[in-house]
Parts: sequence; structure tokens; C-alpha cells
Amino acid sequence: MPIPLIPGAAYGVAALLLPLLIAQPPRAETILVSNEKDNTITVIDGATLKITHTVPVGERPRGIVLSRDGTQLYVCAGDSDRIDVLDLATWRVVHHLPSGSDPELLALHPDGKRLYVANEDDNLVTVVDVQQRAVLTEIPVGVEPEGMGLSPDGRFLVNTSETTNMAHMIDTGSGEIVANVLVGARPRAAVWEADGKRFWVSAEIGGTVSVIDAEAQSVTGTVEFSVPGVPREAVQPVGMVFSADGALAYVALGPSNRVAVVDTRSLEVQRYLLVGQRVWNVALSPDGKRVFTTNGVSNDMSVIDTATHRVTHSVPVGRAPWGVVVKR
Amino acid sequence: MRGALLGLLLGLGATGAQAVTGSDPDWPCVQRLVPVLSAGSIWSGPPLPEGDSWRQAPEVAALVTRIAPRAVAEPEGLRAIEGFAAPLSPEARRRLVPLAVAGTLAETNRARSGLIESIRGFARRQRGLAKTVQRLSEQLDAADAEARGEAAARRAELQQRLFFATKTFQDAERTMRYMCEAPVRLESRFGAYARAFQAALPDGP
Repeated sequence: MPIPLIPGAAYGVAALLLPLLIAQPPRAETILVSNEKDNTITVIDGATLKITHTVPVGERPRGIVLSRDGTQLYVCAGDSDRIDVLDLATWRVVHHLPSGSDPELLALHPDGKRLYVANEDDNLVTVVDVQQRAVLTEIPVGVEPEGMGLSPDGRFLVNTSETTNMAHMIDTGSGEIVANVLVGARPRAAVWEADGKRFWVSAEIGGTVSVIDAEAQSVTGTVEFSVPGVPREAVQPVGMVFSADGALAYVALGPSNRVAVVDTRSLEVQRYLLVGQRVWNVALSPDGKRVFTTNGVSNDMSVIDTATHRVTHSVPVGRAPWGVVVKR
Repeated sequence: MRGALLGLLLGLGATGAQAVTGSDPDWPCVQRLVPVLSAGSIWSGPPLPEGDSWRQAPEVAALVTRIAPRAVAEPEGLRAIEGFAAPLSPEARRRLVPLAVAGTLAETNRARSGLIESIRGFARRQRGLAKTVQRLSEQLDAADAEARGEAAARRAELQQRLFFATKTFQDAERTMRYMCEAPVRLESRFGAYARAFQAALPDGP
């Protein structure tokens, strides 16, 4: 059951929010959240923000990604050492894909066939053919591979390695690493801007986001964060998503319980939004009007209105929510 | 086989993995250590009073004592907050709720610091144990496998000591994963309390 959040109740903001909530048009989108400790996927109706299904999957589900046609969800089931394929019409796991050991994060190539999976324990990126359901190749990378970001044209995969503190640029054609870029400590996510010219890498311990020019293969800017009243070590950048027009980036800041709204030109933080506890990943609705966050400690999903930059709802989901994607 | 095990103990065990990142060798948990929970990371209501002025309000002190100990389950604490706020006038709530949040945060931090210290102590013991395993393993490698008599008995004893030290280490690693969850549970409970306090604040200025 969604709970309308009234952050400024004491200041009478509730009355202002009410018409917004009532005037919400029906939305066809569906939000999918992986719950690391419940071994489930929570399915939420975008219009009502009510849970419609809770689907059991393999153990420790974290990274999730939609198939190109939007009919299936690929789920990294880390402790089951496999990828579960969830059919989004019947809400059942229809088959598994091989993944290598302890898959955590994954990225789907624009061809819809090649799935890139980070294997944290083996220092490998495994490339899986989703149609043949077979491993195509394994790419050795840095220690404890984490984030996976494919360039919009599919030419490059960026993989971050937690312990090596590097972003590896991999040519998807040859499967070779073409560049290693040093970033902040314990890099997490890697996301590309829509035009494919730059990608962003978040560093959980470093507390920064590195912005990397893809052609120069070097860091051209760094986003710094400072949340008033919150100690530095609680500011841990993790998941990131860009606004529909690319002008803003929404960066999840872990146990500071904030999402930073960053201007992608100046790389300055415009504001910090208070969401649930230990915010980990973020996703944008297809119409660009809302951002959804997974909050691993408060076990909920926050909903951010991108027009007003208000946190409008908290939707309780499973235990330790981790990944989030939105299906049209 | 033994080499692989050693690699696991010294390189990939929770203690080892943390040492690799170089941040804090005594902090064995996957979660990065946030030593103190701050009001600013959770509370968005009016500013909280500093120090322990919350102790001066008897009803606030009683509530904090009831809900802050580690063993209190979240639903029980939430019921107590509701029971605390329900009979209060809007004006009393405006005055007492921030005091109650300040007290709950201070006491939650105190309980959490205790947990963090015991986790650190545990991690230090684990590192000591890992060194013992390494030393015993080296001694065993050096011992003559073909030896007879007293030397053979010594070697058998070494083997047994290595077995038990390894087993103790591995059992403790599992315990540690569980221990690492405890500060997170307190953080989560404090978040739920803070939201309940926020909801108890009256509307309007």
C-alpha cells in the first residue's frame, strides 16, 4: 500500500500536494524491484502505486534488466549462480541463463542478444547469448567487477572494478579492454549519456562521480557532494539516471538517504532530496516525469516528481530492495 | 587444497577483503562504516535540541528508555511512540517530539557504537586466528611427511591443530556476516521511529 509522504507536514505542504495526487493521470507503466533478502521481484502498477505481484526468484536477486522487447526480465540471482528469466505476461521464471559465479550486475547489448554479466568472485565479465542460452565468452577484468554500462551504440562496455578503482572500457566487437581509467575508490555504477560522448562512474567510498570523455578515455570532470548535517562517510554515490532531456542526473547517495540532482553541464548539485534509508538504485519513468528509488534499509521505494523535485510517495516493497526498472 | 584454503582465509575472507580496500582493517563488514547516525540523514522536521536536554522531560526520558534498547522490536517501539503522542496537545507535541527524537537518536547511537566496537574486536580476533592458521600451515609444510615415531606424532598434532583453527575461523566468518547486520537493523528501526515522530508533529506553524 503506497503511503503518501508528507515531508513538510509541519509547514502545511500536505494541502499543496493533495491536488497533485488527485490529478494524476492513469499510467500504463509497471515498476519492477528486486528484493535482495526476500528472493523476490516486487511488481508495482505505475498508476496506482499498488503491488500487483510478488514473484519468487533465485537467491539474492540484485541486478535486473528488461529484454529489448520488454516481455522478459533478466534477474541476477547471485547466490544461485544463474540468471533467472522472468516472463512478464505470466509472472513466472520460465528458464535460467548461465552466468558464471555470483552474478551481481548486468547490461543488455542493443542487439537484444548479448547479455554482459559481472562476476564479482571470478574477476570476469561473462557474455551470454540470451537466445542460445549459452556463454559466448568470458572477459578477464579488474578485481571485483561491479558496474556495467553499455554505450548507446553498443560498441563499448564500461565495467568498473571495486578493488582496482578503475573503469575498464571494453570493445564489444573484439572483447578486449581498450582503456583503463582510474576513478574514485570503490566504483559502483557506470552510465552513459544518451549521445554516447561521456559516461559517469560513481565511487561509493571516494564519495564522488567521475565524468569520463569516451573518445579521450579520460576523466574530464568530477561531481562532488556535500549534504548539510550529514557526515562525509555517509555520502556514498551508487546508482545514477539521467533526466529525459539529459540536462539533469539523479544520483543515489546511499546511507545519506539523499538523491542528488546534478546539472550535467556545470556538474554542480542543484539540490538534495530526502528519500528512504540507504538509497541504492534509481530508474526513470518512460515519460520522464518520475524517478523511482530503491531504499535498502527502510525497505521501500521512493517516488520523485521530476517537475517539482518533491518526493511524493514511499511504497513499501520487500526486504533490502536493490534493483529497479520501469516497463512501459 | 591447503594452499587454496589459505588463499581464502587470507585474501578473500571478509577480513581480508576489507584489508585490500585499505580503508579500515578492523572493519570487516561489506557495508562501509558510518560510525554515527546523524539527524540530518533522516530527520527533515524542525531543528533538534542539542545535548541531553531530553533527559529533563520525564515523559520523554521514559519513552526513550522504553524504545531505544537494542532488544526492542520495531512494532513495539512504534506503538510506544503512538501511545506517547496520542494524549498530547498540539503545543506539547511541538515541544516534546523534537526532544524525543534527539533522545532516541542519542541512545540509538550509543547502542550502535557498542555493536560497532564488538564487531571490531571480533575482526581483530579473526585476523589473529588467520595468522595462526598461516603459521600452523607453514610448520606443517616444513614437517617431514615420511617421518616416524615422535616426529610423526608431532606432525599429526599439527594437522589437528590446523584443522580446528581453520574450522573456528570459518565458523566465526559466518557469525560475523550476521553481526554486520545488527547496526543496519538499528539504523532501520531509527528511521521508522523518526517517521512516526514526524507523523506525530501537528500541521501548521
